[in-house]
Amino acid sequence: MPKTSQRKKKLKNQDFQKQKLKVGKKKLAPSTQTDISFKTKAIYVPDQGIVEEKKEITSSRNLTLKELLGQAKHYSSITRKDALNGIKEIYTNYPDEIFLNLGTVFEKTIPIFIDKEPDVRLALLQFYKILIPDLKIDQIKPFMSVFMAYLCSAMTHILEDIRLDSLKFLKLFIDNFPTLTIYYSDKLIPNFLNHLTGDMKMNSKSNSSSLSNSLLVNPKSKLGSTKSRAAILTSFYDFLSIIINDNQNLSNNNKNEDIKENININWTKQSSIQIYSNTEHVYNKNNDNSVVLDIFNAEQKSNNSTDRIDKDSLGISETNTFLKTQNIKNSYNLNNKSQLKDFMDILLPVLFNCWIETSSDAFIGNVNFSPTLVIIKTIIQIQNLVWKKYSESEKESNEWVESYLKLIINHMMIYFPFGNEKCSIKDQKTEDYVKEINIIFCELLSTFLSLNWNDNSKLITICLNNLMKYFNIFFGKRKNEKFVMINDIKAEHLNTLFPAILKLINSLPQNDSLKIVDIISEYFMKVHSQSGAKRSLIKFINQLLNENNLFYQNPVFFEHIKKVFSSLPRLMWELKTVYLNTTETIFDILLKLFKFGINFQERIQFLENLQMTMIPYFYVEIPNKGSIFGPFIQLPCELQKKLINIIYYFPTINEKLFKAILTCCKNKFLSSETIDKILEVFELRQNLLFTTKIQPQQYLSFILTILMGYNSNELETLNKRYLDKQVIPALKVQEVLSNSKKRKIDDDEINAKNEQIANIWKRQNEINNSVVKRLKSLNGIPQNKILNLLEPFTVKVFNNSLPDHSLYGLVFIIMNFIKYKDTCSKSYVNILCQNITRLLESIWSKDNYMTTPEYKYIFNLTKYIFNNLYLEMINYLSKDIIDINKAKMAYRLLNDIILKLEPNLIRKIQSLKVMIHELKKVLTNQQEIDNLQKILRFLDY
Amino acid sequence: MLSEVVVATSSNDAYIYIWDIRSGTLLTTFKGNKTDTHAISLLSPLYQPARKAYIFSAQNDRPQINVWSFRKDQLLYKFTVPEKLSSTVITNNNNYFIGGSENGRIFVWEVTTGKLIKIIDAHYKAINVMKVTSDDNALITGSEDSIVKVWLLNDLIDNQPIRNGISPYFTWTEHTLPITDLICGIGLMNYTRVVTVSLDRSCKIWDLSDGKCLATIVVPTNIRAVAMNPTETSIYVGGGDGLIYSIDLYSKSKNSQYGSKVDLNIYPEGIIDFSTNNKDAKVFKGHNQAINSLSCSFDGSLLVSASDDEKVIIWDAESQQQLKSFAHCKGKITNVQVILRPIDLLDNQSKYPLPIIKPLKRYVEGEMEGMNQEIETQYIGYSNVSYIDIIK
Repeated sequence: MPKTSQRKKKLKNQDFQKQKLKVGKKKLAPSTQTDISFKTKAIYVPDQGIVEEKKEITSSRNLTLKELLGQAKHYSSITRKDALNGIKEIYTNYPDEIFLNLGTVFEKTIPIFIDKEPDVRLALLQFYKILIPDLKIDQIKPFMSVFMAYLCSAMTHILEDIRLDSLKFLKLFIDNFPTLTIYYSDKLIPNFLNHLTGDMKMNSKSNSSSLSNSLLVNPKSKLGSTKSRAAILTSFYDFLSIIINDNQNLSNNNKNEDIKENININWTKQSSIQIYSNTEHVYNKNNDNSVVLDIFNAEQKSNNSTDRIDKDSLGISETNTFLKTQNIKNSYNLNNKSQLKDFMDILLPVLFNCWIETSSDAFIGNVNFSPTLVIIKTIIQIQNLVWKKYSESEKESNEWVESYLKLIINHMMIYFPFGNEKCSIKDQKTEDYVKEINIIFCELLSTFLSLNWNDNSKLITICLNNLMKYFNIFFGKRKNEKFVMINDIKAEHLNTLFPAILKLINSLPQNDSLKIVDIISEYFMKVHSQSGAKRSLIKFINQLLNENNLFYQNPVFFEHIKKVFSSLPRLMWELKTVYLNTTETIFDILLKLFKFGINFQERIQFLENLQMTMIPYFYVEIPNKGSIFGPFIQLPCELQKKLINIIYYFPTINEKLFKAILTCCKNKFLSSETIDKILEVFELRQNLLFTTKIQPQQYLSFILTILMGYNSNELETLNKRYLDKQVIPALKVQEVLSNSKKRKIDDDEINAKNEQIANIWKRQNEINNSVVKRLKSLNGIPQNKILNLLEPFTVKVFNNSLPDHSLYGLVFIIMNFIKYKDTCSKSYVNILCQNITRLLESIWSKDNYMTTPEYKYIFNLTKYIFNNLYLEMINYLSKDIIDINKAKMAYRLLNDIILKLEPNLIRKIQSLKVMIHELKKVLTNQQEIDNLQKILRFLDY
Repeated sequence: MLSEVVVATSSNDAYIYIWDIRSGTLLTTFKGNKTDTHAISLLSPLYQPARKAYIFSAQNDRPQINVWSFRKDQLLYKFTVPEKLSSTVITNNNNYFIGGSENGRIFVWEVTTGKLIKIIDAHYKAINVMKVTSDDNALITGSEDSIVKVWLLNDLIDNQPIRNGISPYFTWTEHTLPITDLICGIGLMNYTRVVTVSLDRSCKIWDLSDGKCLATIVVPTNIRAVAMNPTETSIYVGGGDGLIYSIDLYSKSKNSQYGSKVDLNIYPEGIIDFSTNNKDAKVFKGHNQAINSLSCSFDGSLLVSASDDEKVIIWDAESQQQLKSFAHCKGKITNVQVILRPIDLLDNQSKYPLPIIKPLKRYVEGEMEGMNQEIETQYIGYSNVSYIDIIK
């Protein structure tokens, strides 16, 4: 038997050992028992399902804004980009979600300005491009400082493409929030210059003829490339123009003092640490109060000059570290002349450097549209901007200006006019662009010219010669003394050039300005009348007359521009009613010519001719074609009135013009308001002392013809058609005169006709009032003589068949003077009564006469008639009452009007009772007779 | 006791009438005068701007100025002047008499010496109206050529050669027809508003501090005369049709919480509805021919108007009602002017001193010899304004 080991024995025994139970101890668990207790730990498996619904708003990738913002800081550039795109998507779909979390959104996204990955920045730019324009200024204001801090950081970043991209962001702000952005101009402008110069070595000597600044010339650098430089310059130009223009706006409008404080560009040139000077703001507030300002400015000036000395002395030891510790206060108030000067001293050398670098290859050989041109244009624009600003405050030239002008002439003028014969320009687009550059350069030169110069300054003569040379080319080429037009001048080109030309004409000696005037007037005559160029030329000429009264005082000047003036009436005829603004400007010019020209004897002939050419504008009769109304009739009322004013100043009124105006007045499309104005102006003219007047007889017939609305020939035609003094409804008259055929009339047309009739009567009524006014103030004729004056005319007219509204007009004016009826003969009063009856008969004979449009006018008139003329009327009616028609008429009158008079008054009239008795005999209708009986009883009461 | 009188002149009736405007009694007449609108001016003694002593009236039929003292109803002087004057004005300090001629010239005389100081070619046509700002800083001229010009008085009386070209401080060319009347408000020049009216039916309000047009108001007829109440809240314009239109520049709007509030009235396009349908339109109806002159009483409660229809009407300015009407005159009335009743009216023994006047010269001194001598003129400050300052 093998020996069992001790250990095995032990193990064996263990199995069979009985566990003893002990008091106080737990019962041991049986060995067979399984432990059923267990522990759990969760593992997180991220849910990848895009179908899961989240409560919050999500992007299309099912990420909430919070998640996306978290990802904006992700280490993977792709995730960052996607996050930004996601935010953009949320914004396009649920803008409110972004607006609510604007703070966090900006907090997380702004740092991406300096993200190293171009794609990410692009994504941010795209997001901002849609977000920022939608924001209100108040919404973005709190974040502006953060924006600008990061923007500056980006602009000075070591990576060049970040710097370039920063400009795009800046543009976004400039475009959308210019007023906010200029708060930070102190930080931004140095950065701009850094972009251009590439380093901090800006040595701004006050005498800048030594161009000591070094441009960034690193062939590998992107910043040095023309393309990016163009971008920098354009962006800088935008920025600067906002600041400067904003200044101008503010100086015009001194209410907004809050914003006004930002006129300052506070910036330290060498270091980016800047110090605001509080005093500066205080000065600015007082900027408009002239006296105080001068004192303060003087102080500032002295400050500044010491400042400048510091700079210069420091500039010699070009140690940046040293400069930084100095913290030079360097704030530029662009409204202050000397500070502006300092600013320009820094800016201009940089610009000239850029110019020299780029211009050399710009205009040689083939010129294509390239960033080089953009750079050139922008440089000129920036110069233009600052010099304009400078010339606002300073009118005198000095050495300082001269030194810069010299630079301009030496470096820039040599290429002017840009794109001349030396090089060839292929495509139209480039040519236009070059032309624009030329025009802007002209503007720049004219700014210089507007300063006061010594008469024999060489520089100025050079400028003038060049400008003249360019204008010659611009408006057209002269070949063999013949003028060849250039057709493609656009109105906007002209508009930019006009200030330059205006300045030239005002500041040049007479001979030179005459040359320019000649060129312009020659061009004016050639250019097509409907073109925009012509319109802007007209505007220009008006401006010229406003600013420079030489043109109507000096005969020489006048001679040179006379041709233009004499073409105006034709032009305004050609314009018809298409360009009302231009037409108005022409009226202004003509008005000035007549107003001020009248004192010059030698000009009378010219004015008469001008007047003659104006006739077709109103009305003209051409033998073959018949009568033609000019555009005058169709003009709006205000313009018509304006033109009519000119008549006041005519030295004499031409017979033909007089007739043309009369014909216009008869046209029923001319509003009564204008007719009133015409009558008024003629009246004012008649009362003038010195002008040749229209014969009183002619003037009276003028007024009366307008009143009637028809001349004697037309009345003759009516007479032929309607015999025995009929009264003709207004519309029929027109039919007869226009020879149109009769047609059947349906209901619609009747309604339309009612409207027409109403219009005719309304117009007639207004004309009546106006004519009465004129008659009341007839020169030298007292009011009680007016009836006598009218008598022969009216008797003649009453003998015709008349349109109803004309007859109404005549009766109306006579009634206005009927107070003086004692002065005229009995027979005339009789004729009058006869015609009143005629008028009333024709109106009352219509069906439902109470509803016709003319009734209310007639009704007003009848009240007037019977207050003044009742005796005569009753006498006239009772004379041959046997006639049944007349009797009916009398009955109607009695019923409608006479009984409405004062009862006590009628009771005294014996003839009335006699008439009623007569009437009773004639009338047959029982009701009418009863009625009369009642009236009689009433009268006898 | 203070009372106000109206001085009325005519263009063809040879009398100047003086009425008491409250009682309506005719106080006196001065014979031998024919004058056009704006061609009469009243002279006060130095430092007594409210007391009028002399009437200077430019005749419309000859180049002559007639002068009356209020003490006697007889013509005192006749001065012959170089040209027929169409308008005259005396500065508020009563030192200078300025005349505008029918050829558009301005003549400046010194009243106390009669020296002709300056002649300027100012306008293309006759000068219709001239006014001086209340601080004597600027002269405003309105002309038949439809231009209004503002001249600094300092330029007109300086020692420069006599015919030196002087350019106006402002030139306003916005009117299209002749200017018929203008008024300027009270106050220093820079705080003054000017109202010009013209035959072109428009009434324009200008700011003298920057020369800009503040408002344009159009009425339905040509305008001949204008007046403004002393508080400068209403403008009255007299039309060629005999109606006087009242234009309120401010309106009071009731606000229950804060009491009433005064707003500047802004009329759309400057056109006020004066047609008969508009019940709120304030129109004074009573004359039937063109209004020539308007004047307000000192407290602004009365308005006096003169017209071609030979009547002078006194209106209650607030209600547009006629209070009195004077129809003694037998000709077109061209001027009315309300003044305080002169203390020495028809009192020949009055102890109050009169200002010194000398005949106005026809020629500029020294010019006859072809020399431009310097003329010494003394400019005695701003009359009323500085005087008040001194008292303070």
